[in-house]
Amino acid sequence: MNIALKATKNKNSGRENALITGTVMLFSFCGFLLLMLQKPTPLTGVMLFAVPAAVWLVERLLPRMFAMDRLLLSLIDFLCALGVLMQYRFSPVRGLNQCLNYAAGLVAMISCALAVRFVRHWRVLVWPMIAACCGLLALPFLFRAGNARLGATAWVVSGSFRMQPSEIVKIAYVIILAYFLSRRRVVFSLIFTGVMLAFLIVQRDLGTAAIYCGTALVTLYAATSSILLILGLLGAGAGTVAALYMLFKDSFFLTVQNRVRNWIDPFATYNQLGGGYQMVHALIAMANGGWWGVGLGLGNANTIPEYSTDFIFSAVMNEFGLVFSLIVLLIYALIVLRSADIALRSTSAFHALLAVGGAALLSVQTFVILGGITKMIPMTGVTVPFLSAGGTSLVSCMGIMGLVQGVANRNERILREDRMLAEGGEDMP
Amino acid sequence: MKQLRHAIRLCALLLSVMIVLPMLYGGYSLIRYGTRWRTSEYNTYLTGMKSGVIAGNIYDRGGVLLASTDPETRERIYSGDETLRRALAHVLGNARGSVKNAVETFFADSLYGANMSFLERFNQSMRGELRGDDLMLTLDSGLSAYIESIFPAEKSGAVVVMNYKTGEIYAMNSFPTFDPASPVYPGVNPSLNRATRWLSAPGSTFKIVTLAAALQSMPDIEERTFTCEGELSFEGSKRTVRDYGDTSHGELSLRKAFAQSCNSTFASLAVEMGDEALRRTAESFGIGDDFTFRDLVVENSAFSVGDQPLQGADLAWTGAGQHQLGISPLHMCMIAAGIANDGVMMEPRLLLSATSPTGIIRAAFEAIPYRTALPTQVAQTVRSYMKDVVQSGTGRSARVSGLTVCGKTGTAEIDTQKNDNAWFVGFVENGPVPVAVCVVVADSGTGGNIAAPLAQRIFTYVCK
Repeated sequence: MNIALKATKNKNSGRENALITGTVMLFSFCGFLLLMLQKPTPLTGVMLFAVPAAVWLVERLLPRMFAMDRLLLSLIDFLCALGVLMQYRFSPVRGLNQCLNYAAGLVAMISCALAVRFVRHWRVLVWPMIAACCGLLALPFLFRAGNARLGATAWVVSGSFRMQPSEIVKIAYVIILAYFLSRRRVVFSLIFTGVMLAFLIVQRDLGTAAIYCGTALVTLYAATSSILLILGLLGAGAGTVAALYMLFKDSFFLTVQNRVRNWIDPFATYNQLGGGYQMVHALIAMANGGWWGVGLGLGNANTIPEYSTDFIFSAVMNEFGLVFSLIVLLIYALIVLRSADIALRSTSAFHALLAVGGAALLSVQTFVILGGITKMIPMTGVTVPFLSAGGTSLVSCMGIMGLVQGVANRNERILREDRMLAEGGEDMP
Repeated sequence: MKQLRHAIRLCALLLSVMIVLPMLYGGYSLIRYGTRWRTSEYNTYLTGMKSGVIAGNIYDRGGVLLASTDPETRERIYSGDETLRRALAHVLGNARGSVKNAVETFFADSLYGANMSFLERFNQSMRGELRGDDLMLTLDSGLSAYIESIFPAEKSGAVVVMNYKTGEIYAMNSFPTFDPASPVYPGVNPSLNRATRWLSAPGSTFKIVTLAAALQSMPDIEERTFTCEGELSFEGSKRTVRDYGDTSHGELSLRKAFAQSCNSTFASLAVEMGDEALRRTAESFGIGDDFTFRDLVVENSAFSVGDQPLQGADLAWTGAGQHQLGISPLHMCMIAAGIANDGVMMEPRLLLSATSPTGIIRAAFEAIPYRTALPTQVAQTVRSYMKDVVQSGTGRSARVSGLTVCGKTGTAEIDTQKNDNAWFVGFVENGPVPVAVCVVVADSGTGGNIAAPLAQRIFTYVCK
């Protein structure tokens, strides 16, 4: 971890970054080339050059305007390029949309980074943010009619416009959690988390609830270093769930029972409504792919109903194979390690917790969805960070990475100031 | 801050390990269940693959052509002999997948050339047609057809014949059967492979397991004598264990009780040794195991419903092979084969070899031990008990002159049926071929009268 850090601080690190950028460009170029060979269209021809060019532009220009961690940016770019490629492979329109979403995500990332860099008085901002969080999470209740999507009512739909408020709230949640925990207000952050969870559970968005839970636990542990607290919370959580289960066994928890049944044996519930159909086809897609995949553009993961969002990684496993998928997961792990590295270099507890919280949220989300599609844990519908189609998801993930980039920028500035001070000190006789 | 850094390091480590877990689990699933998932009837990818490839031929162990593909219509052609077609209907299945996990679907990867390397694929498409691998199975088509011809008409059931030293399956017939060449399937669910996917009570054939458990957990058991009064009742339960035909055997040794298939003796043994000892031995025979054999999908057998320890009449009936026991005929055959092979159960195999059109041998037969069920000495004792069953006990009609046949009969009572299910499992100890069989005839009569004579004819066919 620290060795990589020193390398990037080195003046020669430009060459290494160019190598990574080049690899990402080559990957997306080859991907689109394969699609071009299978079915030549003018649009694919444009994408063949446009996507690598976009990758180059982002990685060259962005760090010049605003000092960021280049390695982190390259890793995110790779995942986004893979996402665009996979979406485009199934539907060119969705692929183009994903490019626009990516642009929006970049804006979110820069805004969040700038906020971390320039906002000094979070004290003033935190309370309006809490209010906004509650308001946003309450929105789906207002739009309740006709949007019960896949057992979760977490969507706000207005005409052709759709958004999932809980995705945007994630960014604010990480900030609020880091703020209160850095001031050792553990009880308050627990209450706030509890309120958020209550909203999500009532909306039956269990996957997102699990993500918030995991993030809170990791950040709490980082802030307090108390295993006892975490174990106590886990026990209390299990108790609450058991109590709720006894109360709502026949209404709310039917969804949960259904999910667990589909998890234990999806083949048995294949023909039932809301049964194992999706899981069976996800598993078959994975088995068809095997270790090395059937090849980009040659698979049929679109037999899975939600293949473009929750199950996009089944398509990756299908066409690229399990070995490649493992490498992609290692890249997620690298993002987490790099974020932790940035947290370690931070001089303030708030900023350290900000980076840790962001990394925790990202990794818990990745685990919840990928564990779900490989039948490791029961499936709950959440998006795959950076890969799933959909603007809100990409904006929230990039926003959270923006928080980490902001911390990196602040570290850089403080380092530079220290160095200047030190050099100034040497000049003095 | 120092403490914070420490905690951050730990969190980062845990989180990055957690992220990688799903794919490691995916790899594990791929190794364990990959073939089963890929060959599931819901896999549309396989159907798409079939259109572009000429499926390979299937041969039996003697090289008899069992299935091939018409190069023009791409239709599968099965053997010209109707008896043989009907005999192999369940093992082979058909390209439409009427029978779940039969050779035609379970080996679809090989048959349709999905495991071809890029170079081979290129070479073949240069020559104009893509062909899948040819398979040679362990089956003996003559034996299979013979079993089809001697099995009582209109009855359902299954017959499994395997080599107990190597695990090769020589025949696996399921009844009622159907003709894959004609699209009309008569009878009740004829596409169910009753040899592998039909779980039912094995009746007294299960006493092999009870005996093995008793020999292992009760040291002086062979010296004891038992008194059979024809029935065994339990306090607080109306279910008494009765002997077949309500006869009582009087005073007898364990050896005699096994030969006469005395229910009350084995029921009392089961109660005496307790749930744990019996369940442990049953597990060592693979009952309750999640079968993941290379060539076959076999329904997992069950000792009881749920994990609660059995007591009283329930345990007594289990010791006599009834209650909630559910075992497939193939598994029962494996259990008998395990006794014959000094306690080592071999994995049932169906594939002798897979050969690519260019002559590359893709898979070759290899005998693989499945598990060691019993110590050699115990297995030998059980074997001598099984020899007595055929020489002087309930299995006398399985005797073949010149061969030492060992076996065990079973007469399983099924509540919903008028007659009992007749079972016989056994093997030839000194024959030219180390062969084990399991015969089940449902809704027919006693194992000694119905199943044992069938086994006798099979032994004679194989060894003479």
